[in-house]
Amino acid sequence: MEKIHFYNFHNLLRVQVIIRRPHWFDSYLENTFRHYEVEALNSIDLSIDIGPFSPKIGECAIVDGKYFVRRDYIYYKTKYKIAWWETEIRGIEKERTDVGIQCNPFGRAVIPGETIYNLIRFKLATRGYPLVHGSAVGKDGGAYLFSARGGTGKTISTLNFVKRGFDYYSDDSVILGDHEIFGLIVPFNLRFTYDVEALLGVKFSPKTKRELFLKRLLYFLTLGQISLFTTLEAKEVFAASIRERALLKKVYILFHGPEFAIENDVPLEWVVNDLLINFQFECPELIGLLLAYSYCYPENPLSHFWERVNQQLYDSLSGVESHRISIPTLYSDEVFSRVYQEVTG
Amino acid sequence: MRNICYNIHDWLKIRISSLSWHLVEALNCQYSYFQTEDLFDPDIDVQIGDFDPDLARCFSLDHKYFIKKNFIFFEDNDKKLRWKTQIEGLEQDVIKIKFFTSKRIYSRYPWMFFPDLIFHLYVLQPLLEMKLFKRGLFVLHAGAVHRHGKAYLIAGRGGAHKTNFVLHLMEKGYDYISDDTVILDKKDVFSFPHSISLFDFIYRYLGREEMNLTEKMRLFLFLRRSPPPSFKVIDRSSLKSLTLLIPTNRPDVNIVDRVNLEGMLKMLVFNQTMERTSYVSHKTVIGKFFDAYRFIFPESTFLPTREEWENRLMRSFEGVPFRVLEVPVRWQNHFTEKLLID
Repeated sequence: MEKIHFYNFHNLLRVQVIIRRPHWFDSYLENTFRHYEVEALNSIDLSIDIGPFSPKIGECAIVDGKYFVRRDYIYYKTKYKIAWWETEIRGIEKERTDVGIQCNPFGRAVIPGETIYNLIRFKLATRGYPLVHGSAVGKDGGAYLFSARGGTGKTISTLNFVKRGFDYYSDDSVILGDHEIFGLIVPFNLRFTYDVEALLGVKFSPKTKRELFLKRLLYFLTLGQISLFTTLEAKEVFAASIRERALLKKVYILFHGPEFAIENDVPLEWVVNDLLINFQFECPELIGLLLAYSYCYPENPLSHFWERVNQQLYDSLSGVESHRISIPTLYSDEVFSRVYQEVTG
Repeated sequence: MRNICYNIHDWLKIRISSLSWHLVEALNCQYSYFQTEDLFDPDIDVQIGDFDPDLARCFSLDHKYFIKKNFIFFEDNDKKLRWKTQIEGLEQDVIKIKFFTSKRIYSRYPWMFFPDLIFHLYVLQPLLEMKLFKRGLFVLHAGAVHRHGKAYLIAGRGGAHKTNFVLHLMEKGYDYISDDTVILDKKDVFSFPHSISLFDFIYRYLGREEMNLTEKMRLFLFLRRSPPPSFKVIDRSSLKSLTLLIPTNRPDVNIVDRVNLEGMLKMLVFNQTMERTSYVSHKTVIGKFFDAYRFIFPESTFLPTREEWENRLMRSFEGVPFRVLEVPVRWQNHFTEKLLID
């Protein structure tokens, strides 16, 4: 028994995911990229096959006892807490890359956010579209990109902007094109630190409400020890504000600092530096496998992967107004109004 | 208060002070070769023991790295061992480090016996490499042997039999420079033996890298005694050739001839970078605090770029014969025949 899903990311990347031996843990996997699901695809850039396989690791170089590398081929095993998964990548240098993943049931909940996300990052970057860790909102077809590490206030600013009538592109990852952005819309990850319903004036379905109530109760009863995450379809939260692509107007780098402070018109090198570090912090797995492959085949173009990403960021941001904002750890309404002033200012 | 000082070939002085002294001993197992009596003007001054971080007016990243100009504080953990460290004077001449690990959890090897080695791996080593690079040198992850005034380098990832090659060549009459790390100064090779006692143990009693449990117990007792090395260590030599090893699951040794000089230099750079990710668990990168610092202060230039790394290596390896070898995972003594280029 198997299920096949096709995803088309803005015609920039076409992905096929085959799930063999479906399992109830798969719902997370199936929901993650639902926004981009299509009926069928003519050509496929990345094919991901989830199910048991036997790796063909004969005649391989072994890097750090973990990566098995041969021309156009990598196999490795990853562990994260109680989840483990094995990945086999065929055609890493080719236009079409085929990936096999086998994992334990817990692995199925982890791989969408890890391996699959990393593969999408990798394929997008090799096609000239780096995936930046940041949120984007906009007005009148022009977008503002906010790049920051997790927990700095990307999501809360996005919610606040959308409340004030801005368009929503993404609250976590943005695909950067030539002076333009494409949202990468994944389910909205709800936390208890803010009340989305009140903030946006949307009404959740009774089922969602019930679920949220129970999780919040558990959260308070255990004094914050157990915090189950709840994901909602982006459509349910942002409804009519969702847009797919826009021209990039301004870039902001956000980070925690002692007080609100803004550096205007910072050099492009600084912004690119920050975007690249943020990018790399998000994907240690990708860094590891590219290093292992480049180590064995230093003459192939993948050994320049990060230099190329750097160049792409540079090219697509040249001439775009950029700023760096240090914001206090406590993200209050006052902080948002300062940010809002800067953006609309 | 107990002090211990290391002088790395007169380029860099490190002083470590601590109240608990078995802790200094643990670090001494790493750097014993460089120990000196001179206690003054260290370039890196380390204090081990509990401290209160100076977090006023800090920037922060991931709620983990607390950063201001020339200053980093972070708490981290590896295999359930937690520690905190504060680094001051990052871009200045003298670096001051405070380090503390609170809990000892005696269940995870290898931190079980020497939890303070964490300090060497996660904090001191990246800073050392950065400092030495600033002085025009390059800390290269490679073993080296010496004969007739020339140094033969053997580089490769862990598990590529570097140590085995060095052992076997010493049997053939070559002298020891280092089994793990060397410092390059243009065409000169300086020894940088990490854990020389560990290598000495292998050299005296085992003759091979792999160890079983009883041998590990003996090693532990040996390290507590930490006697002086039973062989001569060559301090300085001039670069003759380089062999790069890649372990494979093929049955025999194979010379890889597709790699040119640029490719080989890249391999050395990647080798170096992988060193920062290999020993540690998923999602951990050694020296990540440098990147965190650069995120907040993108204008800082004290960290070398990959291009600078490659240029520095090019200066050393231009015109030096090299060979890339694929070696089987299972070690056999006859591998050494194809190893050295004369």
